Formats: sequence, C-alpha cells, structure tokens
Amino acid sequence: MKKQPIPGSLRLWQLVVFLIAPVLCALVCLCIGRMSVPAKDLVSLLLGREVGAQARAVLWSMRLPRVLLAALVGAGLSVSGCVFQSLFANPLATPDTLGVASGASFGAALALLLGFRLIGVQLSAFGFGMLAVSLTCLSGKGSARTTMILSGIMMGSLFSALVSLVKFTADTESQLPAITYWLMGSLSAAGFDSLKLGAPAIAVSCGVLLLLRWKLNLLPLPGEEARTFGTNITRLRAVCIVCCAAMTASCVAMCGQVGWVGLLVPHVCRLLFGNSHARLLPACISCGACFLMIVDTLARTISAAEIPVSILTAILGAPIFITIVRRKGGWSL
Amino acid sequence: MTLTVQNGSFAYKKGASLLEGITLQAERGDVLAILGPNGAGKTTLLRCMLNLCRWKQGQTLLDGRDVRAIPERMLWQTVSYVPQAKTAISSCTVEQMVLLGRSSRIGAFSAPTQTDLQKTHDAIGRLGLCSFTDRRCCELSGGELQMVLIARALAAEPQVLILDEPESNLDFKNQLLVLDTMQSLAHAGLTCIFNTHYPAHALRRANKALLLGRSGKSLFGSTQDVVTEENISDYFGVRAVIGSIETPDGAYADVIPVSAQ
Repeated sequence: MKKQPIPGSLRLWQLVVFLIAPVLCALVCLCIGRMSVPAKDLVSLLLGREVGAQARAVLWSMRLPRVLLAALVGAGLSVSGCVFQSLFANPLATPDTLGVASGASFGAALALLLGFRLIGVQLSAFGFGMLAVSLTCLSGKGSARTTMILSGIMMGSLFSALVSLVKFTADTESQLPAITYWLMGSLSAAGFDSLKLGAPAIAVSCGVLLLLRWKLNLLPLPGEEARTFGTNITRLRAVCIVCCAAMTASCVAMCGQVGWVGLLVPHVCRLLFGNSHARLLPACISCGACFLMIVDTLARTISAAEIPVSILTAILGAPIFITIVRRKGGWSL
Repeated sequence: MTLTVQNGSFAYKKGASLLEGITLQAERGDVLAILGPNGAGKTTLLRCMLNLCRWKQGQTLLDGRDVRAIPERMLWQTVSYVPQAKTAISSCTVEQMVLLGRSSRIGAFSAPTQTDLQKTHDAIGRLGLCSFTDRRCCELSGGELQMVLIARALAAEPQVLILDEPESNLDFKNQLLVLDTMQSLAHAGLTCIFNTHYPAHALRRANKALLLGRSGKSLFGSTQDVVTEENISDYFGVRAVIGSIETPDGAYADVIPVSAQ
C-alpha cells in the first residue's frame, strides 16, 4: 500500500522551508544596519576567523542578541496568539486575552518607577504577568470560555489602570519617558543577559506545545465534545494557558508590548497552511520569527532615531493582513 | 458490550429533578431508541450515561463496571458519542475532523499513523462522504456536518455508539443512510443508543425503547410494548395512530400524529 500523507501533518518541504527561512533572515538582518557589515565579515566571524574589532563588536554584542531576541519574541507571541485563538475558539484572541501582557506591563512600569535595574524590571514584569493570568483563571474558573475572555478583559483593564496610576505618579522628567518608551516596545535593550532570563521560558513552552501539537486540534471543539476523545481537556487547557502566559510574560519582560504579531502571524499562517496545529505551530514559529526580525531591522535602520517596533508592526502588519485576508476570502479558525 | 443504567436520577442545581429512577439496558446488537418531548431530558440522559454529567443517584455500568471507575481514555476507546450537529466553528477539513475521532487511540505526544488514516477513510466511505473529504467543516450544512460527526465517531472503532438525534437535520436519503448504518453496526455486534423525535424510526429500527416524560417519569421495554398509541398520548400529549403501510416488499410500521390533546 502506498504511504499517504496524514492530513494536516507537516510536509517535508514545509519543514525545510520553516527551518531555513529564519536562519537566512537572521543572516541578512545581521548584515543590515546603520553600519553595514559585508557578508564576508559575517561568514568569517561565523567560521571563527579573525575579523575587524569593530565588525566583531557590532555583530557579536549588538546585533546578534537583538536578532535572536526578535526571533524569540516573534515566535513566542505568534505561537501564544495561535494557541489562545484555538483555546477560546475565537479568532480575535491575542496573547493578551487573559491580561498577561497588561499585568507584565504593570510589573515593568512599577519596577521602572522604583528604579530597579534591567534584571529587576524583567523579573517584575514576568511575575506580574503570571499573577494577572492566575487571577483571571481564578475568577473565570469552571465557567464557559466567553466568561473566561471577559474576566481576561477585566483583568487587562484593571492592570492598564494601574499602569496609568504608575505613570501618573512617575517623575515627568526621567521616569515617565522611560516607562512610556518601554511600554511602546523596543528591542534596543537586547543583550545576552536579558536573553538568558527570557529565552528558556519561551523555548520550553514552544517545545511542550509542539509535542502536544496533534492534541491541540481538539482545543477549538466545545469542551464536552473534546472530552469524548479520551483527552483530559481541562488539563490540556491548563497546560496551554501556562505555556502561553509564560511566553507572553517573557516577551513583555524582555522588550515591552509588541502588538499585532500575536494576531497577525497566526491568521496569516492559518490562511496559508490550514488549521492543523501539527503544521500551524511550526509555521507560526518560523513566520513569527522572520516577521519580527525583518520589522525590527527596519525599525533600527530606516531613520536616524530608532522607531518603536510596535508602531512598525501595526503599520506594516495591517496592510499585509488585509491583503491576504481579502485574497484568501476571509479568516477562520 | 452491555450498557446498563441502574436507577439513575439527575437534577440541575436549581429546579426539580429532571430524570428519576431511570433503568435501562442495551446489549450487544441492540438498537435502543430514546423518545420524549422537548425538555424531557433526552440529551441530559445521554450525558449522564457517559459520565459527562454526574448522576445524582444510580450509576451506569459497562459490562458490569461503573463508568466512573473506568479511566477516561479506556472509556472513550469503547464508547463513541455523536453530539447534535450545531454549526461548526472549526474550518478544518472533513478528513481532519474525522481523524480527530482517532484521538483516544493516539498518545498525547504521538502523531496519527497510517492505520489511523485507513480507519478514517473507512469511516468516511461508510457514510458516503468520499466526495467531500477536502471540504471545510464550517462550509457544510447542518445535515452534512451531522454525517461527518457520525463518521468521526465510527473512526474510533467503538463497541458502544451513542447518538444524540442523529437524523434530525437530515434529508430522507441521509436519514435512511444513518438508520441503515446504525442497524448494520448493531448486526456487526455494536450497541447503539440514539435519541430521536420520530417514533416511527424507533418502531422500524430499534428493538428496545425508552420513553421519557416530563417530571421524570419513564418507561423502558421492547419497542413493541413501549411505542403504543396509548403511551404516545400519555407521554407526548398527542393522539396518534400506529399502523402499517403495505407494499409489495412488505409492511412498514408508521406512526401518524393526528391531533394535540
């Protein structure tokens, strides 16, 4: 009998493309910038040969962590958006649906107000992000999925209000600009230290969700129906929420709120690759990483002063999204 | 496999009890029809039977074993449930939807195999859905979706098949197809239990029937004894005549509602 491909599984060519695309993207982004680095310097550096001190400094300590951060955050936000959409059977769900990002923003703003250093800001952001999602889950526990979304929105607006309160009390000369700029989302603070703190959560969560990829196809079904497939759906949902929240909180902790990626990338991937998570998750990881690497490279090159990345994700994202949606005839889960 | 409900009672948190002292038994090869007016608790009964709702009292036994004691995964490898088809939000393809039926036989971290794909295609073929394997579920009509859900349940290779109003949304031909499929599955040794609004379907296809009335009363027995003019008047508040239509191929039982009482 001829071996048939399993419907919804990842084809070999897709796997190859999903693996190669981010690597190529990263290499190109490393070379581009205010100071352009010739490709041969990059190749020499990667091969461990001697390169000029300046090129080495730019590539190794400035661009590499930043490109890695962009890839991680892009992948993390896309996967988290995608899983939340399936989990809530709602195409409008984003990584912030349960209030994670608002909570994390509050954590960061508070830390900035108290004058913590970068590590402190990150830890506080992550902590408050997870606190927000736990509060949402506690208040929406055991009820229908729409109730859960509602409690998420409530928790989100509660923490947004708290962020405003922090801004209101902040010193207008120094602290307020820092908080505002941080909230707009920027990858400029990237360094290996902050990566070390945020990367593990994103990598582990992506790994867990990838392992569960076939079970995730049960998520959009009504809860009771999903139970009749012998999967403990409550546990599956809990695992998904923890993974997604950890990823989102880590992303916000490392680079502030980067909007749009978590809504845009999953939908584009759904339209291009279908709704089976076995294919969709790898697609989201790859496309999300590429998208944010490209956008961040634009953010740091197109003008003398760096543009906050979330402004660009929206400006670029909206037209791309509308074009694809119109061409493919609508969106769906 | 034998499914037995012993003295099952259920009430939603507020309000009077919905089901009271339900007792029924369906064995290998049986087709059991559950009949009753709207709101009598037919769907609730199926859900309680499968431990999707908790019985207040009483229990469900599968081959003598309480379903609450059976691990979920084992339970759903033996029993398949076909819910009422509401509009699907999922835009996965029909093939992917039917493949989901195999989930109880696929480990948490494993991928479907060629065997799973083969069973999926068998189930799709059995319900005559071959022509729309690649259609998206959200584009199907209610009736088509219902057929897909039945195929999905069959893909799990269950020993007990439980269907919630499987033929309600279907056209004549698909109604026959579903009822025929149920009957042939029962002949092959499955236990089939289904909710229906059509007493005639129960008369023609089911060997056992359960009548559910409002305020918790119920009646279980062989279809001939349960689906009678007297009981229909009693449980549905409808005067009906039961007769048979004779054709050259044989006689077909039918129930004709005449007037509401």
